[in-house]
Amino acid sequence: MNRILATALLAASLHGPALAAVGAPAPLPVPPPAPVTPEVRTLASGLRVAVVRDTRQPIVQIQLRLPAGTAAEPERHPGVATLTGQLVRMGTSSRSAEQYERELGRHGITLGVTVGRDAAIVAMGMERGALASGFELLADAVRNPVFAPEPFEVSRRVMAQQLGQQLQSPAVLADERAAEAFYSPHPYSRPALGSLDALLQMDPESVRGFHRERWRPDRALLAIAGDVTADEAFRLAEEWFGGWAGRASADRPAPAPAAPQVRVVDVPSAPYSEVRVGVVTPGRGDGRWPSWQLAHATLEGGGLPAGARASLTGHRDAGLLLLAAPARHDSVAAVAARLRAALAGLADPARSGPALAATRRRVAQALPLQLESMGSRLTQWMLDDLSGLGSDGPERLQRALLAADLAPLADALRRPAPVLVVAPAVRVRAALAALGPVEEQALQRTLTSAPADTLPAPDAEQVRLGREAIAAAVAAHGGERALRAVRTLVTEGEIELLAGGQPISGTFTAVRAFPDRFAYVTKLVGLEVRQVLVGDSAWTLTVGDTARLEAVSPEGVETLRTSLVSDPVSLLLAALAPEARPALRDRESMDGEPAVAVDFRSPRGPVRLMLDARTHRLLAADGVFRGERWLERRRFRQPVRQAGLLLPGLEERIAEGQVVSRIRLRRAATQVALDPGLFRRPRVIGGQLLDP
Amino acid sequence: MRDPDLPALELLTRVLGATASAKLPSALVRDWNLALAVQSGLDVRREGSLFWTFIALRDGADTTTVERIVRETMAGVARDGVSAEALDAVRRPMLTSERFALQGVRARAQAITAAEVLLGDATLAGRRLEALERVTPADLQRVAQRVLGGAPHAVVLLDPAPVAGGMNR
Repeated sequence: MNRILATALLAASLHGPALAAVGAPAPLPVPPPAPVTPEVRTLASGLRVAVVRDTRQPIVQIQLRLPAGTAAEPERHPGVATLTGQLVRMGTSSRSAEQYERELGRHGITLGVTVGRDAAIVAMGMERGALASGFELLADAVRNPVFAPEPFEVSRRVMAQQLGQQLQSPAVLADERAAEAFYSPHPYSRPALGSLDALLQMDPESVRGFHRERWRPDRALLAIAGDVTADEAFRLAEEWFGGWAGRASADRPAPAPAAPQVRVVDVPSAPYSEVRVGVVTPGRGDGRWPSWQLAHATLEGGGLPAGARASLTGHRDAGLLLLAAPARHDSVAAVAARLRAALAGLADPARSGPALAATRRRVAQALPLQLESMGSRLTQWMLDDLSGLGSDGPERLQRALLAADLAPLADALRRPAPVLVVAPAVRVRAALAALGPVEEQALQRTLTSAPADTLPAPDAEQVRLGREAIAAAVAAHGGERALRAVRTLVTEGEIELLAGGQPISGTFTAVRAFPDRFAYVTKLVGLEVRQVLVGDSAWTLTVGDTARLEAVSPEGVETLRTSLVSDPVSLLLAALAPEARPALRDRESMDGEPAVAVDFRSPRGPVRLMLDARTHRLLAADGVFRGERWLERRRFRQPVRQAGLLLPGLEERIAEGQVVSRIRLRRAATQVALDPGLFRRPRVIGGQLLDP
Repeated sequence: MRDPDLPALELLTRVLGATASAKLPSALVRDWNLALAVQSGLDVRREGSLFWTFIALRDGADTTTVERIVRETMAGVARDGVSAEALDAVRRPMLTSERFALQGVRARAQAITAAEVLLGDATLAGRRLEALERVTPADLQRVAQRVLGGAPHAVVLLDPAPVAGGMNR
């Protein structure tokens, strides 16, 4: 090796003067990427099978692409695509998770599942001799997963922990929320891990439902590359996937992205800010995609402010060129402006010189290296196929890169790009206003957010009957004097979260100290979550393997205030208020018993109470009035008398017609002396709770 | 590194402690519940290599017992050998992984460079996988007897408790 090096150096020194005399050497030719020319057949089930022969190594790579990316998730289950991808290998109808892993190991087979926005891809690698076993194991995971409760809980907990870690890193949080903000309302805006709320509302049946809907053969693509003949690969595909039946559900509507101008994700405890500036690009199949790749390479090659980075991701319908930089809180607006300027600078016609030509060559030359493994070539080919490109995608892309220019992007680059900032909103909102209208977003996501409609004005008779009905209900629940005497109310018991079947069980404690303090503590799947409201501020403490303390956003504070007065005592007292104007509009039945519906105005929006027409007992409380419909209901059942009050022994929370949670009351107490420490903000340092 | 038994020693390391289901983790974590994690590895050098096993003990675990189980497990491999199936269970994933890695130009260049610089023969890079394929259960047992029985060894205990002097042995 040293001999070779010495010879090369000697040759260089001998030829140096001659080279200098003739000028710089001509650029080396750009090597083309290895072609991918698969043989493609379609099975009777609709599954397309593609085979690429490659005998460089005695190995085979199989990839199965399914229309099961995050963009295909049902609205109420964000995160279910990722969860499904994790769980397919964790138990099938004939193998436990351990047996499945053991079989993979025995044959030396690697298996990975990647869930992206457009698709889920299951990738398997094996030696040539393990091919038949590989097909059988792949088919078992894809076709026969059982989604048993135990692995479901394990996976869900892992995802919850990943979400927690995400919340603790402003940079990771900013990347995730930027994609959400900039793609919104397109389904690409859905977060890969979903949200803690959504995870807690899912159960194995949610995953089974998604698998049933989207892990189907008719829009799937099975690609095999490696040391295998096309005949053998097609035979094995037919053997293991020929009987796979069903059709994937239709895609959801995909409205075009329309990002807000400036969004702040409010993280009051963030030690520094993270700034993201982005441009939503056309999809990978668009003719301008190579120009966007050139724009990205130009930025990365010296076109960014110090400390900034750029990334480009492409999908079928759209892509995202994202510029990122950390910033001090007082420099956020300046950093965002510099990132915008870097983007706009790409549109400068002066860019089309030798430097841009060199960038073109650099990007084009890198392509063959990026596509040298079978796995990367198969993935590229599958993504090209998804974007409607032909099998000559890599060669065509390379030619397009060598001819690409930034001029076609000028209009898009000159428009002020949307900005997302992760920071304490109070520290940055005034400065950011100079960049455009500022929208603030809470750290914790909630599933419903649109404001409630107003109720139609009642007539005098409806109000008279409404007031009579409320007075009777107040009497039935202990009388006005008893209700007004309640200064503290502590309830505790069991809570079940449901979403279509399997409940997630835990415990809850609700402590109400009227008029403005509220603590709600749940213990579910190994996580204790304490939400505490004190006047105008609130925080959430999550205690699992580590502890995490987060300030609650203004929207979250409003939600907690609504929860503070959602108990029967508060609801009835609110209906008694003079400005409430309760109106009896309907007489109907609930569970076969006659009932009256009385709605009224509360400080937290319209509320409707369903009252038993005979006993005057409170049967249900409806909230979130939209489009002349009540979207949320608390159903009060099994009344019990505790602490001198009539309280529901069972409360069901129903959202858009579905029971989403049940709480069973075990104990209630009023007028108790509360531990002042309950409403004192705890200290968490390095994931450790210092004030339990 | 030039020792002809090196491929067998690499596979022996995997049999003993490269995965959670290997012999040492199975004994100490699963069967005896004395350890939280166990891992073995081989630090390959030109003049002499180091076979190591790292054990994270459970609180209160008796170190003498742990040492005894480690020795017995290793002695069991040296005495009884391993089945062809057990050997393949560690060899197949290793070969698959290496073959996939060697698709890349950079990985092939590194393998060739290492063979040339450390062994003086670039062509050995291409023969490594063949050598792993040729290892038999008998080879593994012989290497276990040679390395695990008589080779010099050391035990290091790191006690994180605030003991004066830090390491207590």
